[in-house]
Amino acid sequence: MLDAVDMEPPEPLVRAQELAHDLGAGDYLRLQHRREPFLLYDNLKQQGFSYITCTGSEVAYVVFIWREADVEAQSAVEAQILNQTDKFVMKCSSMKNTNT
Amino acid sequence: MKNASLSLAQTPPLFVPFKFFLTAPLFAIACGITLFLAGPEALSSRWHPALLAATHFITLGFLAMIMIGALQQLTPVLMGARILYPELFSTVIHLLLTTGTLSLTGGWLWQQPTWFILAGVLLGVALSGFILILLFTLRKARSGHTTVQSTKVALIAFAVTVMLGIYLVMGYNWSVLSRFPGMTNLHMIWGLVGWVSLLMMGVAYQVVPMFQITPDYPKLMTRWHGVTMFILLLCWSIVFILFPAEVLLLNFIAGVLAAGLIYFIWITLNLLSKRRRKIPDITLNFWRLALSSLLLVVIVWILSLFDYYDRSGLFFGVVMIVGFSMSAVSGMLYKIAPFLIWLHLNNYAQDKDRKQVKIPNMKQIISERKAQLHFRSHSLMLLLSFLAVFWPDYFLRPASLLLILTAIFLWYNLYSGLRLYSNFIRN
Repeated sequence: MLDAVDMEPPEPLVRAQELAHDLGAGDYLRLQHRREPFLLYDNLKQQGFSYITCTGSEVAYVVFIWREADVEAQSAVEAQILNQTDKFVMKCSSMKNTNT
Repeated sequence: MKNASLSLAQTPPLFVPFKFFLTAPLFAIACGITLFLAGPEALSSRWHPALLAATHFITLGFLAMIMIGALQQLTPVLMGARILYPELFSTVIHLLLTTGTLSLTGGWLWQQPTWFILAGVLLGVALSGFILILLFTLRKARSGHTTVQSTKVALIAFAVTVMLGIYLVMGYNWSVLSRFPGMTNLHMIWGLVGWVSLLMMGVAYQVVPMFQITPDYPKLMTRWHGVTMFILLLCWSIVFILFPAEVLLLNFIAGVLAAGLIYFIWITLNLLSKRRRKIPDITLNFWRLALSSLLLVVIVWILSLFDYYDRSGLFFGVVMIVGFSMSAVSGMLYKIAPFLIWLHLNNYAQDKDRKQVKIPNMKQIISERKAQLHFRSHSLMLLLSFLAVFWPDYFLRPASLLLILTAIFLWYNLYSGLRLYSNFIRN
């Protein structure tokens, strides 16, 4: 997990990309941010990652990131979202940003 | 609310804003040289040609140059609205603004009335073209952030400033253009309180919480504050033109405007005190200096309403232009310039194998130490400028020399960031 709530731009983007590149099969990254990281989305798409963004009440934005075509990681993200809906997730984007 | 998309595809080439950024300190140097050569005599009257030239070296050559350059990058990157043909647009505007400013200031320094016609045409085309195209572009802004609305309002205030300025400058050649006695004051107020302050506020709404990690500005404030200030400025101007004898009403509106500025200062200082990461930051130093100056502006303004002391007009100009505007713009540059360089390096890295490319961080692009040197020089220059208003014989020339030094520091810091970018791409 990367908590970027207290980070100054562009540190969240740099750290998120570094951690995303270290993801293994079945792993995903959970990024917490106070703003929606639009710039990160472009980079993730170009580098072969999928992502889904949720808006929360405790943390403004939660972005789940995993390697494209990693079905196991995507399932884990979906399960995570379903399990924690009551705790922090108000609304998540559709899986349209995913390429799987 | 829709959000801004920081789309990579929308980022114009780095040289689009940087040619403005690198030209601006050169005009500050020209201002320093002008005042140094003219000496204390320059401050003998607000109509002294050297003082008028020096003022416009800063307001047009430094402040407008940087703000116009920054807006061409902020519009697509922060507000999600793409300017068509950005390179051609920026080259034309830059050329016209540079030559127009030189013609205008040259007209005063060499007493050449015909140069004012040239300046009026060049600046009129450059600035009206810039304002109209930017307003047109902002219609399509994808961002729902109130910075878009504040920028539009500031641009309209800029348009009023430019129109008044061109009318005044044409008066040097055609005396048939009868001048309303307070027209210069209107031009100055619309330029400094309208264009500069409203734009600074609008940009602050977005960049202060983003870069200083503070809570957001109150929603009601970001939605209405800029518009209200604009309407008050408009009301004050109408009363000033049509009913100049209504001093009480004029002072009342001016007082509400002053309260609006104090509200912005208070909220911003309050937000800055709630920073999540309390680490030293050069932009924060510049911002605190700018906000303190703005507070001083309000106090001087209120004192001037009651004619408490005679040099308030000149002091108002120095505090507003050098203290608030130059400090705020310099501070913002230390966030905007390294971020843009980083953004372009990041774009470059997207085309390469990312693991092979280690992008320098923001602090490496322009070092904190070099920026601190600029800040210290700027602060001392500001102090000497204040003193020069009251004791020009002793302080004007030292302040002018320090202005030159401060501008050299800024130019070198920006250039070193750009050089790092070029070296990185080349290697």
